[in-house]
Amino acid sequence: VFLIEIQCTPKGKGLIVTVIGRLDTATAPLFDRKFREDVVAGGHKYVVLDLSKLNYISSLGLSSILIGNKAVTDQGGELVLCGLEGIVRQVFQMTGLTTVLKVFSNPDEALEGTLAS
Amino acid sequence: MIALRLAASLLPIVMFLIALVFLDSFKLVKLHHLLALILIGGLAAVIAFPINTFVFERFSSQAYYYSRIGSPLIEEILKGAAIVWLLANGYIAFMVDASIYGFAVGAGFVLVENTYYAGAFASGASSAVWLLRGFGLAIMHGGSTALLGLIGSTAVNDRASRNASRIAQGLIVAWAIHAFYNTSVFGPATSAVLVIGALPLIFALAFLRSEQTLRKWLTEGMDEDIELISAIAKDELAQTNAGKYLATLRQRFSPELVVDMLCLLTLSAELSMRAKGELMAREMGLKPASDPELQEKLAEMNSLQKNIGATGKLALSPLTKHSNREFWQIHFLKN
Repeated sequence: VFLIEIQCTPKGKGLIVTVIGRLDTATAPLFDRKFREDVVAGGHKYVVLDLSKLNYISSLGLSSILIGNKAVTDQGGELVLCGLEGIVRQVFQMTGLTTVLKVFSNPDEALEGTLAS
Repeated sequence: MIALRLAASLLPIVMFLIALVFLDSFKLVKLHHLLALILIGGLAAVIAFPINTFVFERFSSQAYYYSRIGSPLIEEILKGAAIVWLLANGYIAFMVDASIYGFAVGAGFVLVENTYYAGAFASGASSAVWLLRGFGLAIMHGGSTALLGLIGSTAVNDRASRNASRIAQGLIVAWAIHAFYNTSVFGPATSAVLVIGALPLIFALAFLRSEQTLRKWLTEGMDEDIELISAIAKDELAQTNAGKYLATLRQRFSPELVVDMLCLLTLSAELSMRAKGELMAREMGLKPASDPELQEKLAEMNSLQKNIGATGKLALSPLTKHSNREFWQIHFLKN
């Protein structure tokens, strides 16, 4: 059963990580592993998390993103979000996490934003 | 010399308190609460002093027993009062904050007590005795009140009677430790070593357990809130258990009241998500900006609760969470 797909696309100096499907208890460990192997171990500093194709996120999903953010910032980089829609946007707004993570409307804008900072 | 002895006997408790605060990975403890509780602990010592003096003078023949059994009980009640109030009013919700706040009260108490002893018995003992006594007393006072809070907090999410019973158990344990220390069954030095050795181990285990409890509460609670918000957003509430239950309430309450109930559920979920989101961010060393609409939301929640009334709230209770941790979330957001 398709639950999550994670695509990593290098673009210029940055890396766009597109998450498709659900990020919840079942899929968060997969996301964690993929993020660790492809993003953190790859030493990427400018990371854009494109959530436009994410249709559900749970507490563990949020936790995974925060852990990913910490790993990227610990190596001197920055993780930004883009494409928050529907319930995913609501969850990020209601939890106040939009005040600690930068949010952009699309990957290009997000990449520009992270490179600029 | 007095100043040096005093510093040597007080420094360990301050360092121990700082270490506990650093172990608080979710940053549950607020600095202004911590300072207030140190002051309250000091006040408890100031209140305990005339009480103990009065009993010693009035019943001097029983002084031996009072100093070992009576005064520890009085002192633990005075120190524990603030922690019990915080537990009862939802300002403490987990073992970590309960034990740190408890330790802070004990620290305040021993700061006053050791200062008094330093002045009153300045030339009566060697520096080594001073150090051991000061350190042992500090850890004992901090640890006993911390244990009261820790044991009391284990039933914070249960019904009131179980909660009260746990607080009573906590008080008995705190009293027993204090009485054991004062009785000096194994001699003052061994008692001090036992207390110093055992309490940090107990705290380490409690902190581990507390972190698991907090994480479970955080994830399960937030997922329930997300499910509710998601169902409302997708207009699928009627298919959920909450929606089906709300539909049954339409037969007993006016449509306006049922709408208010739904608004209350949504708003409670929203505030709960905010508090839990902030905890998650803090664990990662981030500090979310405070919600600019928080005051309006809290006022709205009060207004909805008034509209619904006691009967409505009772009817809604299968869908709402009434534990102290839910009240604690509100205090957490306000501060």
